[in-house]
Amino acid sequence: MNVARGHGVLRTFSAHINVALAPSSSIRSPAVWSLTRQYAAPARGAAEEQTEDPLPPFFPRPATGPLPDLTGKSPEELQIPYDPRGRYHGAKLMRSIDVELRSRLDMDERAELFRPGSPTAVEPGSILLIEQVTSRSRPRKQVFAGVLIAIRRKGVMSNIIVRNYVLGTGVEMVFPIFSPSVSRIKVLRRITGLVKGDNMYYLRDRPSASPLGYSKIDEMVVRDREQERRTKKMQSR
Amino acid sequence: MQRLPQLPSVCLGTRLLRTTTATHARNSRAITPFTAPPSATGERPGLLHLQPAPAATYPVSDGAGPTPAPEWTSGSKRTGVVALKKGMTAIWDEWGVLTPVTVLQIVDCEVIRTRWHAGCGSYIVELGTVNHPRLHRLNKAQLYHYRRWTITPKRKMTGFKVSPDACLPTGTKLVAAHFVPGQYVDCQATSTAKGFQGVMKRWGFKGQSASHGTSLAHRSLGSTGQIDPGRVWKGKKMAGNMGNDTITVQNLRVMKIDTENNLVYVKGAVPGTDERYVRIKDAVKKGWFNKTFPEGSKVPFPTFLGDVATLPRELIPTAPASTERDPFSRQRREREL
Repeated sequence: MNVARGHGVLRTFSAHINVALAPSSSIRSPAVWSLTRQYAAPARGAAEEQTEDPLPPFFPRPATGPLPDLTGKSPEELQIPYDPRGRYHGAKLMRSIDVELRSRLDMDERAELFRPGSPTAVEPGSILLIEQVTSRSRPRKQVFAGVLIAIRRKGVMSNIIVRNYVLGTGVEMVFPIFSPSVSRIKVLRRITGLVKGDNMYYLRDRPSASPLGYSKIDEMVVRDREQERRTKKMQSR
Repeated sequence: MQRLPQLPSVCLGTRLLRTTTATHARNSRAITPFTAPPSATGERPGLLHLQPAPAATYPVSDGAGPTPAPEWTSGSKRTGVVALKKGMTAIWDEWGVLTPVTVLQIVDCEVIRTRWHAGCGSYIVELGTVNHPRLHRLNKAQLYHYRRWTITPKRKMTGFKVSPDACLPTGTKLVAAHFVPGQYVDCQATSTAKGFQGVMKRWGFKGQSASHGTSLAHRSLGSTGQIDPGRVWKGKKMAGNMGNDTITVQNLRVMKIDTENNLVYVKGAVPGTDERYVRIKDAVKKGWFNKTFPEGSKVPFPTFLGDVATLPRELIPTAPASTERDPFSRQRREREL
């Protein structure tokens, strides 16, 4: 499976696998293995679906109106990284540019998923499915699902880290939220209360502390893909 | 040690109490002034201050005829602009590639005058940026200069060499729309000062080993030369003040232009810290291959003289040409391997 070629940053932690996997681990059971193989290689009939028309060149939404005036708002409110130089003269302009750029790059309101105060906010521990587009000239959809372990808020470069096991190896992928290559972020299961807006880096050392077994995530992904295919067929009819 | 050859007694100059007639004759012969041979036309080639200035074209009618509207050619040299470095951010370009950009803001940039500089043999567009907030801090020479040309006194005054068809009249306002999105520029600024730094940081020397008997010389210079000439060469790399130099970064692409706030988004990094002056001008090296401006773009020549309100708030480069390769596509050679 072509997991390594994505626009997220790939990290593998094979050392952790040897410690984590017991002989009777759920990942190696034959039933789940066949499911992962299905998930890994698309069905023969789906080969035609993979070829898609090239995407047009990417442009964010056009600018409407002047840059926003953000006087009186703190960097935490605006989800901008802390600036050790304080409130210097040019900071106002750069913050306005950052906030405006985010609102223009956000095509399907996915910033609401990661804003701290929003009602649809997703917490680390939830299971996410991310659809990527490899390139704009040959846009092949690539899917990665896993446990959300961190949300890093850095303005327009805000990114999320999603962890899963692929073919027996631990894999973490970092996705910039506002990247045009990240075509869809879907919440498969919303889990709250595990960590209060913090990260779950401890999963690297303790995979058993995961909110959901990793084999279950694969099952959820397979079910989701089937559902997608069915809805597509229904719509084409 | 080999001794240096004896210098002739002439060089000792005033120390000699007596000069022989032969020495005196030799000295007087050595000081004859140079006279260039006269040319057929009567001019003296090679002496710039005696060549007449070529005729300059200003985009302003002199009352005699119509307003000249010069066209940009590959031989023309436009003026540059002085901007303030505001900071850096990231945008995604037309291919979806994450691009770091520097935001440069053009603040109150006005042409003071265009003058012919014989020393460098070209016209210079003198311009100033950032209106000075405290006029009592300017000295008389500066104040009277601004008064003579009726320009608001500025904090920074500099000049750009231009070709005769790119001269600008006094008071022309330079804006971000002077640049074409997708063009290449050279950015020049004073680099961040790092203070007194050692050779490892300043010149990238490797230092010496951390253990194995090295005493008190882990980050030091080591040897400073050879037995011959038995001295240290001029310009030997040593520790000293690092940074605070004028650095030019070439061939930076203009990713976006904001006409309302006069911002130029330039791909990559620019020397210096925030709120410092940056000289931006069209890329010189790309100009050798006629690649400074994107194909088919209209270059505002000599500068953008229209109404900024008619332009959209943001100008972005046009879609990439069909011949350009998608940076995310894998080449066939890679795939075969």
